[in-house]
Amino acid sequence: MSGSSRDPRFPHDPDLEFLRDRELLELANLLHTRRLPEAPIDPAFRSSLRRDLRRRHYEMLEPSTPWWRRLTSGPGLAWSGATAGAIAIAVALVFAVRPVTPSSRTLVSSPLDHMRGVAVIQPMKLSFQTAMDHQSVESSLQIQPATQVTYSWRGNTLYVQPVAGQLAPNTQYRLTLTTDARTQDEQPIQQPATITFVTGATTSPTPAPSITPVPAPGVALANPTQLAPAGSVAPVWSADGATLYFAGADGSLESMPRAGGTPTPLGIPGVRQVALAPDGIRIAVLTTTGVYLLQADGTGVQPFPAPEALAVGWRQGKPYAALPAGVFEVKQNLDRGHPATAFAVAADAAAFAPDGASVLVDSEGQVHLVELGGGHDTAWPAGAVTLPAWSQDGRRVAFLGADGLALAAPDGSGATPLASLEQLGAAGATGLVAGWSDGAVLVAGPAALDGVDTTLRVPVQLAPGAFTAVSGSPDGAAIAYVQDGALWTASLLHPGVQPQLESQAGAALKTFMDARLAGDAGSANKFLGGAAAQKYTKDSLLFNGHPGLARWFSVFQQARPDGSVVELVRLVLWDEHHVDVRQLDETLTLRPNADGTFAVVDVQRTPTRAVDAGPEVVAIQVSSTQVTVTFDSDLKPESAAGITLGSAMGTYANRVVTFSLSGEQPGQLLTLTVPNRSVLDLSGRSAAQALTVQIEVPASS
Amino acid sequence: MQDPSGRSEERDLVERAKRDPNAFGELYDRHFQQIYRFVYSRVGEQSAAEDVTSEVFMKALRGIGRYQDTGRPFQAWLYQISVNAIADRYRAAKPVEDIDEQRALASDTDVEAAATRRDELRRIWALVEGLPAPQRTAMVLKFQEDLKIEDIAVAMGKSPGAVKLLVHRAVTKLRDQARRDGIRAEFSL
Repeated sequence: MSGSSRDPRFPHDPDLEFLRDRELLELANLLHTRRLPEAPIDPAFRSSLRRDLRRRHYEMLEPSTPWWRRLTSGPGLAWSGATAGAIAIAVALVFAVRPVTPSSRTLVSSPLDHMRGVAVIQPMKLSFQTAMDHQSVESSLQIQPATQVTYSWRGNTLYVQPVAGQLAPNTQYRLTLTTDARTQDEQPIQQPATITFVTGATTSPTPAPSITPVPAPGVALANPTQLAPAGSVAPVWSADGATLYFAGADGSLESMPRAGGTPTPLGIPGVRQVALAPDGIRIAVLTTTGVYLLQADGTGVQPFPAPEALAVGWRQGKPYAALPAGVFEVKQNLDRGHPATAFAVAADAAAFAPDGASVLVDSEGQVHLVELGGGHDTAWPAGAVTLPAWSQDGRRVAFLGADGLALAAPDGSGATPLASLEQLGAAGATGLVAGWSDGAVLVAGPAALDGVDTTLRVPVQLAPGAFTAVSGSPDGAAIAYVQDGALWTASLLHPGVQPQLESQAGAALKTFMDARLAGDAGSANKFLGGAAAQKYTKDSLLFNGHPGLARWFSVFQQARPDGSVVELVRLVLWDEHHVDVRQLDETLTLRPNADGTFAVVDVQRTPTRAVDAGPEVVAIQVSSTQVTVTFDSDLKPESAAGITLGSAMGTYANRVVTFSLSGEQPGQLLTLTVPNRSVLDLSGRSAAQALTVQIEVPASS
Repeated sequence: MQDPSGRSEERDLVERAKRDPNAFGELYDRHFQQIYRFVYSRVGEQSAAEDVTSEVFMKALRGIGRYQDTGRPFQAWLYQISVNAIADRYRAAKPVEDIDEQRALASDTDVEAAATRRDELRRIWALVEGLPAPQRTAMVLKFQEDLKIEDIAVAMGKSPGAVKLLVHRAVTKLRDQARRDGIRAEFSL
């Protein structure tokens, strides 16, 4: 049909040109203009069908026997449950009843459906519009996660109470009434109905959003033990912390167990510095006459004369010595060869980084950082009165400046004050020997041993006396020091530091996670540093689209001896209908910046897994006396025996496994292990995710 | 659906829906209304329409893994399932009579009743109900659901040419019946 023949009152449909006849086209156009009335649609049918499709789809994707089919009923108890809500938004779920008449329906409602942040301590009620057969409803009601419950009826209202006394925190509950439920007159419901809601946190505190200063001492000594007479040289710990290498009273090298005993003379006189190789077998010793290499048991002694040597260290398994002209590999004719790295100016003092990759050099009061690889020399912007002391991880240094004790990056940048000269008292006035341990800088002075926690930054006198050397153990739990001509060890405690660190890190974590929740990549990225900056992509940071990031919560948090804070965070993803569908765990490492703020420096994440895939750990809480592990599901008690802390088994009751810490040493690291195969919920499903967490035994108050 | 970017987006969604329940849910949200309306227009009763619509989407879910894009909108496939489901339902319920015969009988009554109300357009649609099943399905899909001929062909499992023939015959028959029933004056322009 040509355009000229069209009637302007009707839209042209080229799809109908095959009709050709004008009269037929007019009739067709007339048919287009007439619409039948809209079909009556029951919104409950529409949403119910959608839920059924989604559930069926998940079953198709993850073929397994539905957990609830494995549920069994116990006498007086049922393996299902629900909760009651405080917010009175009743969402009606309509069940079609196999008809007395096709339109007959049974209505059940719960104020909790689609609610989030539901309080964990409350009963749950399901209200039916018609009288129901109690036994069939109770036996057909399924709950995820598996929860042991009791039932009570008041008229047509069913109250469901978890046997544990309360619901699990931060958990999505899904209640399904299957078609086995019947009305009192024996009519089965035609379609299952589902109620979904999410609980809020428990009574455990959410990290404080603001930082409250805590007047805590930060550092304290415990159990000081005198070991042996010693000279004024910093003791060195073996890698396992079991052995100490030190200068004896006559200045010669000795070793002895950290636990005490008789020192072993190693036969090297005039010791000024000791450096243990990374392999723990070889030792480089700086003496008044040069450098010695020997085995840790005292055998294989090799002397390398070089009386002008300033320091020794190890780099990539090779021994090096710093001399005024540069850094030399320790070998024959040490002081007459060519330096591996030459200094631009003659050095007066030097200190190797823990990994030997660089060396701090003091030349006429000016500090330089010299890289051993290419000899790159960075002069410090500010003068240091003393040669800076390396932290154990080599990331920071402590030095005494004109205003007092300060921290800085190894190249001198980012210097921040730690304590004033007045606060340091005698140690600050007379010069100091600084050592690092466990996130603290230790200042050994002629009248006292002081300590400053690098987070709290409050100087504390640890002990009075004349101190000439101090060093921290590899695990950060102890120090060795020389006091009044003797070698001592003591435990180093951080009262008040852990809560403060955790509070500050928790506040940073909340800001970081809330930015992710809000889709604010810019704000979230500000918290990223180190490896974490590389490990996050935009997708893994924000989870845009569907499923999207719905909520998060902290499962576990603990400060570590190095000042970092470990956070185990669960991220829950929801679909476009705001139903939680997937989840994953992120283990974040937060570390304080030089200005005291926290950055996320590393992240390890699990793959995403389905919500409702099996029992999940939702909280790990640590006190000075016990560790509790809370699950979202009731477990088969015997299967909880597979959960261990160190080598110990806990006791299980009401979704919680409890471990006693009595007898454990403060500072000791214990491994919490939750296997995913042997831990079973009441329905026999295994844990959704294996979990391994390092937990440090806290210091008792 | 003619928008290329829209087709591309739909193709992506369908592909995701094969393994993502949420994507399938989005397809469901997009097409539920029209499929339900179509089914209801065919079965004429709410509970039956709900049953058939459930069956349609359940079949779609089971079959989406095998679904292959042929360049036609996804809805054409859903209509195809719907047409078959409606036919199956009435075949199962009434092995001899099919829905079209039932509806045709009802339509005759409706036409007579409608004639008395002088609702000529409604009478024409009532005449549609009296058409043979394939013609009626093609007419409903074309004029109620606004599907393209090619999409109707997918839905009905026929060639586009066969659908055109069905529509042509149906419209011709309607014209003849309208003339016979005196409705011609109402729509003749």
